[in-house]
Amino acid sequence: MPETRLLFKNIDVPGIDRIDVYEQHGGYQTLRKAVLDMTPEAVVSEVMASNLRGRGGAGFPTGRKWSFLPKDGRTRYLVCNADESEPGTCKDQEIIYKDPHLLIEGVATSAYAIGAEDAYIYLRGEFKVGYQILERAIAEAHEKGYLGDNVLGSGRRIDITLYLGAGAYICGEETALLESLEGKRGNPRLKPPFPATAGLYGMPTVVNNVETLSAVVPIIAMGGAEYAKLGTEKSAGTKLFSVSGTVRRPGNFELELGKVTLRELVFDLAGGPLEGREIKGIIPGGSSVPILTPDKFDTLLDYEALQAAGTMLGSGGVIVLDDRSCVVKSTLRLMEFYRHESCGKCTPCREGTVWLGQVLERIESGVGRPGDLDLLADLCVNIEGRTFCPLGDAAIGVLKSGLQLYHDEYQAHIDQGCCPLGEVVR
Amino acid sequence: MITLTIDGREAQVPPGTLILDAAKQVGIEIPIFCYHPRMDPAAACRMCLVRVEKMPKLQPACATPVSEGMVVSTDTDEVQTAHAGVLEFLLANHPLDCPICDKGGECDLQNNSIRYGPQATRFADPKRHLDKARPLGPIVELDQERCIQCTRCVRFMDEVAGDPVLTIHDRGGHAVIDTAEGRTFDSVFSGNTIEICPVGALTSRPFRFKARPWDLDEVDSVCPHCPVGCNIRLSVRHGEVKRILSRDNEEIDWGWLCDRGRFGYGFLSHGTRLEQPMLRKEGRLVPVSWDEAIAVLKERMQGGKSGALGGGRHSLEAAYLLRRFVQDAGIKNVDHRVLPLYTAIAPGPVGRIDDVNDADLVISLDAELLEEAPVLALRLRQFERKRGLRIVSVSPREGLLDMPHQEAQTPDIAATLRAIAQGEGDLGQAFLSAQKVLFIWNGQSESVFSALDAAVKARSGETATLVVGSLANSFGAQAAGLLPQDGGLDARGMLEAAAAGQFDTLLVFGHDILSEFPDAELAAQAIEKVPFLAVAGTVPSETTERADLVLPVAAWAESDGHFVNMEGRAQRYYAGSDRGVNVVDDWELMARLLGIEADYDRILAEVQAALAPLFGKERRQGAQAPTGGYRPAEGAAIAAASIYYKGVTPDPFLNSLIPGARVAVAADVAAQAGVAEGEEVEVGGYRAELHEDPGLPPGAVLVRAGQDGANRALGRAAAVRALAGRSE
Repeated sequence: MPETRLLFKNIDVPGIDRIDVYEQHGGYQTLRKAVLDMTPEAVVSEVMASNLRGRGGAGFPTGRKWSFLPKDGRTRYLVCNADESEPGTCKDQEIIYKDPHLLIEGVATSAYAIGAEDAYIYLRGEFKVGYQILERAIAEAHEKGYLGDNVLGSGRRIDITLYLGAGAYICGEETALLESLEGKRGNPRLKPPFPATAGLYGMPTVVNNVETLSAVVPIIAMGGAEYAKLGTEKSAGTKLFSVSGTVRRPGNFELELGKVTLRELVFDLAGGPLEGREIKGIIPGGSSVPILTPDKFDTLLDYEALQAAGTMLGSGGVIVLDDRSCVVKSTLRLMEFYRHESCGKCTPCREGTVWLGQVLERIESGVGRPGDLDLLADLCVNIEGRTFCPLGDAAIGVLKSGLQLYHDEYQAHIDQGCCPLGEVVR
Repeated sequence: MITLTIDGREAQVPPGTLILDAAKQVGIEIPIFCYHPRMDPAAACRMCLVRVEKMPKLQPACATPVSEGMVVSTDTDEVQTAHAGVLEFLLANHPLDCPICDKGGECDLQNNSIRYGPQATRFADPKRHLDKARPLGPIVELDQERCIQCTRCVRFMDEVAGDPVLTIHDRGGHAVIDTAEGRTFDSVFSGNTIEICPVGALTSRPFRFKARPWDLDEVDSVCPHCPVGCNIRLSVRHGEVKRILSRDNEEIDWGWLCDRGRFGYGFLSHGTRLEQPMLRKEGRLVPVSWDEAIAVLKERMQGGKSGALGGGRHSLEAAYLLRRFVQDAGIKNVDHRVLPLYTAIAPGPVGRIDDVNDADLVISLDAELLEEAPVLALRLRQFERKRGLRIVSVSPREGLLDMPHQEAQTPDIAATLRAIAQGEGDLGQAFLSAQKVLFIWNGQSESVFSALDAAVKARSGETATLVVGSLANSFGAQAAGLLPQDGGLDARGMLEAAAAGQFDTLLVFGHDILSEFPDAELAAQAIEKVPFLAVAGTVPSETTERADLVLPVAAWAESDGHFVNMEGRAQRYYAGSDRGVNVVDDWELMARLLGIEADYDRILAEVQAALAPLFGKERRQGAQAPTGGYRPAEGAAIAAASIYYKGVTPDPFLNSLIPGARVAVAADVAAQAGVAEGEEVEVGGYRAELHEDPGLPPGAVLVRAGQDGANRALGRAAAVRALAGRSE
C-alpha cells in the first residue's frame, strides 16, 4: 500500500527549503493563482468543497471554521499553530524543517482567503532551528514578492510574523496559544467568546494547524472537489501519520484517509515489529487517545472508523507498544509528561495529574497497594470532562484504556512487587 | 426574561444571567471557590460544575449564561460526585493546618468540604511542601501550601485594582502565586486579596495568628478615614478591634476597602490614647474630673473672642450639638475647615458614587483619587474597563489618576473648565452632549467653584459633583453648620486673631492644628498666644501638649454615631470596642457642654429631625463656596494628600507604611536648585528627600502629607529659600 503524497510531494527533494528549488517544483503557483485569479471568497469555497478537516487533532471542518469570522470590518488575523508538542507526533516539524515554503505558501494563501493582512506562525519553543529555517524562507518570500505590502502586484498586503513559544504543550490549545502570542502566560481562555469573534488582541482570528494550512496549497492547486475525491466522504484527502515506538522504520507517512488500515501502516510502511517482538497495542492518534489492541489493527485510518473502534485519529501520532514495552511504565511516562505540562489553571488537571503520577510511580516501583487500580480509574473519572480545557481528557486517554485493556499487567505489578516483564525494580 | 428549570424549580431571569445567580434566585446554592461576584468568571476551580441537559459535559455554573428552556441539575449523583472529586483534589495536598489558620471557621474550603466533600481522602502520599510564610509586601503574607490556585487575588489586582502585581509562577502542581518579578505587593488595595481569599493562604501582618474567627464579634461600622464612607465590619475580641472587614454596599464600595481603612485600627488600643480630662494648673496638665473640665470650658467659651475649630473627624451628632452649643453661647467663630483639602461642597447637585455607573463623562478637577478617595477610583476603573467610560483629568499636574484616562493639563483649572462649558474643542462638545456628567473635585479653590457652578448650569443633561479630599464627616459638619456665623471668623481668621493676641479661647475638636494646619507658622503663633486652648480628641499630639484643657473622647469604633460621606449620606456606625473609663462619646461631651441629657436615642432623633435630608433618599444639593480655611499664598508649594499620613489616627502599623519625607519639584526647579535626585533638602524646617516629578507644571514644588512637619514646608518663602540655599 503506497503513500499518497500531496504535502510530502517534494519532501525529499534536495534543497527544497530554498525558494529557487521550491519554485522549480511548482512552488508559489498556488498563491499566484489565488491572489491574481481568484477572489478570497472563491478560495474559501474551494476549501469548503475540499471537506478538509483540521489536522491538529480535533478534526473540525476548516472551511466552516473560516466561515465563522464575523463580517464586521474589524482587523482579522490568521494564526498558524506550530506548537507541535504531543508525544509521538512530529509531522508538522518535518514540513517546517524540510519544506518551509509549503507552509508559507499555505499561510499566505489562507490569509488571503480570510482577509487577514497579518499572519502569525506560533512555533513550539523547542523548534529553534525550525525558527531559523522559516525566518530565512520568509525573507526569501519577501524578496520574491510573495509576501509584503503588495503581494505579486495584487495590491494586497500579507505579512507573516514568527513567534517562538517558551516551551509549553498547553500552548497548542488555541486560546492558550493566543495568550502566549500576546505575551502573557499561556493559560487557556474561557470560551465563548471563540477566537473567530475575539481572538488575537480581541480581534476575529482563525487558528489552524501547520498541516491544515499546508493542505490548502494542493487543494487550491487541484481544486476542492478533486481533493474531496481523495479519502472518504467525511474524511477527505490525505493525512500525515507519525509512527514511533518499537517498529523497524519509524517516521512520517502521508496516507489517503480511509484507504489504509492501521495494520498496513505499522506492519508494511513502518516495517512492523522488531525482530522477535510482537505488537501488543497501538496508540493511533497521539499520546492522548485510547490504545487499540491487535484485534482492532485492521481498522481503517480515518476519523469515523477510528472513532467506531473506540479511539480517535487525533493528530495522527501512531505509538507502537510491543510485548517488551511495560504498559505501566509507558503510561507513567505519559503521565509525567502531562503532569509537567498541566498549566495548573483548573483543579482536576493540576491536582489529578500529580496524584495519578504518584500512584503510577509506586505501582511501577513495585510498591503499589491493593485498590490502587480502582483509585486510578476513579481519579480518571474525576478528571474526564471536568477540566477547563481538553488537556485533562488528553492526560487520561491512554491510561484509562490501558487500565481496561491491560488490567492484568497492572495488577501483576502490584501482586508481584515488580514488573512482570522483567524490568528492574527501581 | 428567560425561563429555565433548576432542580425542578422554575426560574425567570434576565438574559445574560449566570446559572449560578439564577440558582441563587430560586434558593439553590451552588458551591464556588474561584468565582467572585465583583469579578469576571474564571471557571478554574471546577467546584460549581452542574449538569445542563443537552450539553455533553458538566458545565461551570459560574461561567455559563442561562438560555431559554435550559434544564439544570445541581444535585444529581453525577454532580455530587464531581463536587466531591474537586474537593478531594483540593484537599489532597492541602496542609490541613486548620487549627492555626486565620481562616478557620470562615473558610470556603472547610465549608464546602463539610457540605459537598468526600467522607475521607484516598490520598496517602507525601504532600507538596511549599513556602508557609512568604512575605509578598509590607502587609500581606502568603502561605503557598494553603493556596488552592483560585487566582481571585491575581484577578483582583489585574481586573479591579488595575495593577497586575500578583502573578502565577511555574505551572501545574508547581504553580504558586507570587509577585511579578521585581515587584513587591505594595498596592494600597492589597488587603482586599486577603478578604476574598477563599482559604487562609493570604494573611495580614496585623491579624496573622491573632484570633480565631469564631471568637470574634462582628460590629457594623463605617470607615473613618476618608469621605467615601466605605461600609466596614469591626471584628472585636475582648473589647479590642482585631481586624476590619468590608461590608459590601452596592452603592458605595462594592465590598472593597483601601489598606488605610482596613488596617487603620491599631491606634485604638496601642496605649497612647488620651485617657483622662486634664487641666493646666500652675503650668502643668493635671487630671481633673469631667465635671470640672466641663465647667471650665463652659466658662471660657463665651462671646466674641472664643471660637471652635474642627468637627469633620467626629460624629454628625457631635457636630450638631457643638453647633447648638456655640449658638447658645453666642459664639460666631466656628469652622470645621482646617485642612487644605476640604473647603467646599459642590455647586448644584451633589454627586453619588453610583453616578459613575451611568455617567458618559467623568471630569476630575485636580483630584488624586488613589490618595484621597481610593475606593472611588476602583469604581471608575471598572466602568472604564467595562464600557470605556471617558475620564478626563483637568489639573496643573499630570498623572493624578491611576487608570486609563485623558490628561487635560492646564495652569488654570477654572479657565479650562469655562472653555469646556462653552463647548470648546472635542472635550467641550462631549461635555455638552453627554447625557450625564460627573465632576470629581478636590474642593480647593473659589475660582474653580464659580467655574464649576457655571459649567453645571451650562448643561441641560444631568450633572453632579463629588468633592473628595475631605474627612469622614466633613459633609456632616458642614450640614450641621460648623461654619462662621453672622460675620464670625473662619479657621484662618481665628488663628490670625489668636496670633495677634486678640482671642481668648480656642476649642480644637479632632485636629492636631500644629502639624495639620497648612500654615504651620501661623498655627504655632496662634497656639502660643491664645490664653486658653482646649483640645478634644482621641490621641495625644503636639497640640494637646500645649493645651490648657484636654478632653479625651471616644474613637469611632468605641462609639455610636453617624458619618456623612461625600454624597451627603449619613451612615450609622456602632460601638464595638472598649474605651477608657474616663473617655466619653464625642456627642456626650457636647451634650454635657450644652447641659442636656446624654441620651443617644434622643439626640439622634433631634439630629434626624433637624438634618432630615442627610438621612433621606433624595440627591443632596450643594452650593457652599470654598471660602475661608486655607488660602495658599501665591507660589506656595502644592499641598498633596497622602493615603498614609501621621496624624490624629497614628496607627503604628500604618505609620510604618508612610514613605519617607519627600518633596517633589518640577524639572526646572530641580535644574535651578542644582539638587540631585533623592538628595536631602530642608524646606521650611522640614527635612525631606527631593524628587523630580515630570507631572508637575514648571516652577512647582509639591509637598505630600505624610510625615510630621510636612505642613511646615508648604509656605512659599520657605520652599524657595531652602532650595536656593542649596544651589548657592
